[in-house]
Amino acid sequence: MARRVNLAHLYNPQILEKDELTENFVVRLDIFKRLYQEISTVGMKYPEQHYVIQGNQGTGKTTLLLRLSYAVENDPSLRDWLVPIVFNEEEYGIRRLYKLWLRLAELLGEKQECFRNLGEVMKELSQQFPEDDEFERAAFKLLSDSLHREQKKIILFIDNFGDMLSKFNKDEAHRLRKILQTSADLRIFAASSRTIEAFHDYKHPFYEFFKIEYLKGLNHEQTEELLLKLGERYQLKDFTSTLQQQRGRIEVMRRLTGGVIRQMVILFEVLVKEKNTDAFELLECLLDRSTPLYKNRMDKLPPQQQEIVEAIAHRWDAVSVKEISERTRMGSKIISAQLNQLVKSEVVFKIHTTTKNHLYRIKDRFFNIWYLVRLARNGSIGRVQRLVNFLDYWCSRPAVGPDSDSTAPASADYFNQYLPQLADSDTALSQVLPQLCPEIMGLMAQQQYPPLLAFFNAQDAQGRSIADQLKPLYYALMQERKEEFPNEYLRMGEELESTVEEILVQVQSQQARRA
Amino acid sequence: MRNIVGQTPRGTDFFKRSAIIKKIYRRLEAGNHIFLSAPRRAGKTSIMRFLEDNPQEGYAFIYINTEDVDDLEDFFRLLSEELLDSEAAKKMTQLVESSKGLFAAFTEKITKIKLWDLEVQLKQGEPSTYKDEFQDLLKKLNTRKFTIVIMLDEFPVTLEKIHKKHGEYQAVHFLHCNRALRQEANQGIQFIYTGSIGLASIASKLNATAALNDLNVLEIPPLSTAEARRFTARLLKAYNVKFEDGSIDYLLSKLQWLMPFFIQLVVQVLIDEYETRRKTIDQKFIDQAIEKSSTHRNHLYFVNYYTRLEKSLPPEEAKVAKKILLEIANKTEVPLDAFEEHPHSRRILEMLILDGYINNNQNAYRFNSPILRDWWKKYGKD
Repeated sequence: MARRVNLAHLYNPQILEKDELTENFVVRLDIFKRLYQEISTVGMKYPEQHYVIQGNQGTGKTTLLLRLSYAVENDPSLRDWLVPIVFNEEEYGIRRLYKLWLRLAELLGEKQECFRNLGEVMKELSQQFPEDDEFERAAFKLLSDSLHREQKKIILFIDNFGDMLSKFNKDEAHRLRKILQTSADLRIFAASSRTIEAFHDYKHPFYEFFKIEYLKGLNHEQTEELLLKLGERYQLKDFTSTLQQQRGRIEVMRRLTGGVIRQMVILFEVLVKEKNTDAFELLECLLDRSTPLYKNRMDKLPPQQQEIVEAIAHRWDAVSVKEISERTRMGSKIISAQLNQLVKSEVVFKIHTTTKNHLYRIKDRFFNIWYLVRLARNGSIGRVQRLVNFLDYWCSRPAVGPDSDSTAPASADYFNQYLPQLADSDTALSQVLPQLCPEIMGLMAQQQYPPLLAFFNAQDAQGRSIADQLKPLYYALMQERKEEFPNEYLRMGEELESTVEEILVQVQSQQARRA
Repeated sequence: MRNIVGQTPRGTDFFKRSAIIKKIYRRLEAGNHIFLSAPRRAGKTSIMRFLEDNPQEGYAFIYINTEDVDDLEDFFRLLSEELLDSEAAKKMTQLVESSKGLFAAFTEKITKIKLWDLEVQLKQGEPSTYKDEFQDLLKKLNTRKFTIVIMLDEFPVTLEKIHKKHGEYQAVHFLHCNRALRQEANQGIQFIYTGSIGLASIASKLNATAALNDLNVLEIPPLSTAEARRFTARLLKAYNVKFEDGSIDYLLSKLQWLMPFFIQLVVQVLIDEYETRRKTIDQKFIDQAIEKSSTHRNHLYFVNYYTRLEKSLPPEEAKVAKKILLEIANKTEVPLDAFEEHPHSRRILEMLILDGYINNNQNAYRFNSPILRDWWKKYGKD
């Protein structure tokens, strides 16, 4: 009998039982093995390499840290001398370095009998040292002496490490770096959902100090593997055939969400419940599940930043300060100042161009889509719908052979015939794509750019930009012509990258055939 | 050999740089106290740790990181404790009979200072200081049989912190105390100072460069091509990455600036790409990896080179620095006298060299890294 699909732990892998988490850990095996080997093959004779795992929310950082900690606990060759300590995401109270040692002493005491009183002894020590920095030194010495006495070492798994580190002052950062560089008693494996600025700040003690492992989104194969293994785990008999039928749509969702594991697990849940859902309905299910997170993100922004984020999100592709100013009527100085904050908090991503005017886009691309579908007006849903339709066509199309090379005439007028159809309805695009898409790629292969540029610059009868309706093809053209338009292709969002790459590969193979 | 980033590689993870190690010994043999100068991540600490872990016959090294010290007495307390705790002290008491008594007396005095600090009620008369006791010990130790080298890492950070906490007078005093320590210590006691920020520029701001003029400055150069070839091959082999003959030389010709850290960054990209693609590394593979490192992860790395100018220099000077760098990037090389009309150009150029942006070898300014130069040409506009 099929097991009930329960994904309540999605945001809190800590609540999963050890065995359940281990059993559910079916992707990211490569990085797990690599890091585990790194832990298990060194005896920590010298101060060891410290790691930070960086990835967007939902990419599996917390789960990976927990999986590593359980692996250490279960390894007979490690557990006698190496104590894994997990600091969960909610350790907000650690604002000073001495508090890190206090909390560590408490957790160590909970974990191992021989350290049961360590936390209390450390607290008593604080009476002797009224100055924080003196107490911190004494506390670390006590911790270090206790570890030596018991012949143990610690491996610390710290989530949201960037937040913790940003609370320490510079003297504390110097002190922590010195400890990590000179003490072989402890080792850190941390995680962070944002880039930790200090690691790239030449003047900061932690400049390039940690080795960073990036958790990227799942690729096509990894996504299928995840879904298959989830199907097996929940003993769903006909899930393989669902997977076969929905292969193209699954790939569309993967591209739009960036392959974030959390979204792919939600996708699994939706696929189990709704077997015959179309691509846009699938997207809406994923967006609904993300609403609390994204709404909170938007609500937390100060009003001016909200307005700027809305302006950028509305445009979808990257925009300049001038373009934001036109939409918001805010002065460019104010916008630049707020953008600096938004870039720092990683809501917005800054793209350097070849001019002084840089471009800005929403960093979390799925958040941008959520905004367009759930908050924006004026036909924004339709714009997303058309991209979904394009991707649905692209990811589900049969393999293209040499015979399908297009022979469309190189004339701007020829393409104008499509304008009424494109204006007709959002779904009309799906009907014209099997003919239009190969024709555009065919002309690109022949390097007949002027009619294509004219077509993309046109608008349909409802005043909608053709470039916006056929984004992947437009950006493939811009990429191809980047000598002529050096900054236009930089506007492209990451959700289009792989599709654009595939279009260009196909164009190049057509060119090779013609040659 | 693992690709260690940030942390100090020790033991089999350390890539031995024989040339610079020999150079250090030669300078020590000539009786010099040394200041090791290099940009951050150039491998200063790992070289010092190697000396400590593998001393030549007749030497003992003590590595001390002072970056968490912001007070003169605290500095000498740390030095006293580290010396007492060191292998060098153990070795000395085994070899030189008279040192046993000296160390025992020193321990007693240090304990008294500690107790004086802790037990307020016992305070009578003037206490001794860590500084005086440490200086005294270094004068008395008989070092005929071997040399003790005290290596002080992140010394400029300590100087800056003392300046910030106690003011200019104390910071200058601290530099002079260190100079007195070097001059008054017995011949077989030598010092190596180093740090990731420029000691000379801080001393210059304090008008105290005279307190450093006995230090012999030794620059840590990038790896030679032969060293870089061996280093890269060892790293790739350690991760079972297959590569075509000649591909390492191709990579090095692209990098040009053969700082170990810079090589490690690109090698890490190669390892990651290899794990994804499982394709033997050839020239095309390398071109793609370099393109990737300058557009993705290391994009941040390059952007930081740009933004840190604003943090390191006053706004007007940061502007001049950007102008200078853009000109060097566009022209590939610029004569040494080209920037004389810019205000403060000498100081700015010194900082750009020290922080690893450019070099002035071969009578011209050039970017150290052609990858950074290309990035600058494209994106380094103000």
